[in-house]
Amino acid sequence: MARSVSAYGRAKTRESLLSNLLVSQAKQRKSKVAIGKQKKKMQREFQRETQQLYDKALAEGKSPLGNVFKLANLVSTLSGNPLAAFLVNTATNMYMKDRQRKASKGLLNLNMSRWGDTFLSEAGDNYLSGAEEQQITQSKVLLDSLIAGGTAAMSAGGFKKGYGDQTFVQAAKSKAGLPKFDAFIKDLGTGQGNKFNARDMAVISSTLPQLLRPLAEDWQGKGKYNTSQSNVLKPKYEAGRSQFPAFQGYRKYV
Amino acid sequence: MKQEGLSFLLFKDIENMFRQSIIDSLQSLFPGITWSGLQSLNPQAISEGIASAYGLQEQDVPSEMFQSLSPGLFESAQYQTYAPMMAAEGDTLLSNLKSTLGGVDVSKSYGGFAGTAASGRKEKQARDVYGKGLGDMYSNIRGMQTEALTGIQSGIDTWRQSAEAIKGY
Repeated sequence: MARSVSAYGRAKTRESLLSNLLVSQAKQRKSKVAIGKQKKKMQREFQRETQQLYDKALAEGKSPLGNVFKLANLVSTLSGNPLAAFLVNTATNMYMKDRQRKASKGLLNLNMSRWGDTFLSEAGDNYLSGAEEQQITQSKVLLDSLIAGGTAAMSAGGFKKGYGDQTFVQAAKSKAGLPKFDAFIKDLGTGQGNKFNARDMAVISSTLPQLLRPLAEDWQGKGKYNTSQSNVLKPKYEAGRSQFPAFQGYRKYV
Repeated sequence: MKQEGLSFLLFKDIENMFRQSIIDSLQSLFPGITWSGLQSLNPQAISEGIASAYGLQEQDVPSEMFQSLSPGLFESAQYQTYAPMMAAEGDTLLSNLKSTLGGVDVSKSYGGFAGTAASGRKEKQARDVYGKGLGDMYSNIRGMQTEALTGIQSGIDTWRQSAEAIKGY
């Protein structure tokens, strides 16, 4: 007796296959949607990470001592000695620029072990390239600042030629100059953002004037560094602020 | 029964050839995987295999990105699924051939001139009909089996495409 097969039986087999293929295709479409979602999710994570690095660098680069420095510069200007003002200003500027440079190093902390093996590796490379460029720029700014400060100091030293064994700047720097201002700045405290605390205020109001006193006294003709307006700077100073090289440096970095 | 045995070998060979090709291509993703192992791969296992093979972190290729292969496709890809249909159709075709070539009805239809040139032509026609019927049936089943195997391969390709999209290839 022959086994019989109906048209219905053949159609049923075919239908079953088509149904399985449709299910498979639907799954593949679902996978494609999931790929898109996953890529977007990773892009968002990448952006969040770079944004956090940027925000952190910005916060660290923006010194909480900004206003303290402004006050320090004001106090040093009020001391009456342009060299003192120049030294404080150079020191605070260098501190700020160095701080920015160090902070921008944080931009390089992108987690490339996570992104380097993914479709975001190119974006990561571009980001790091930009961050490295930022490093170079920041270093150059700091270098420029140092060179400008050095140039101004050398010019200021030129005033003292023929007025003793010690030049104006050598004396100022060694006795009351940059090393001490540097220590002063490092001693400044913990104020945040636009605020600074009582300790910062105390440091500025007590330490800075003391630090500046020798220069201020010298400026008034009472000191021993031969920087007084009477014997060195006055003629040039009277000729106008712009002709006073140390002051030019000061003005440049205000 | 002889024809069923031959067709079994033919389809089994094709099926094995496809299966082996798919399994070979999967060794880089899932070393040592077998056909039955492929059927039981769940999204989590796929995600782990893909992450390892492509050097990605599992969080970048989560299991939600992967779909396991439809069990129905594996069923449609194997010869046994079609064997009853093939046997039944083969029997029907053979039965028709037999009834055309021999039996009472055959001699009647030849007008009592069995063994003549006219009956020879009829016999050839009957054999042609039988041969074409078998050929169509094989072709049809082979087509369905191939579609199912292609569907499996396509599902696997989607896994790779998912990984490559995340990898950035």
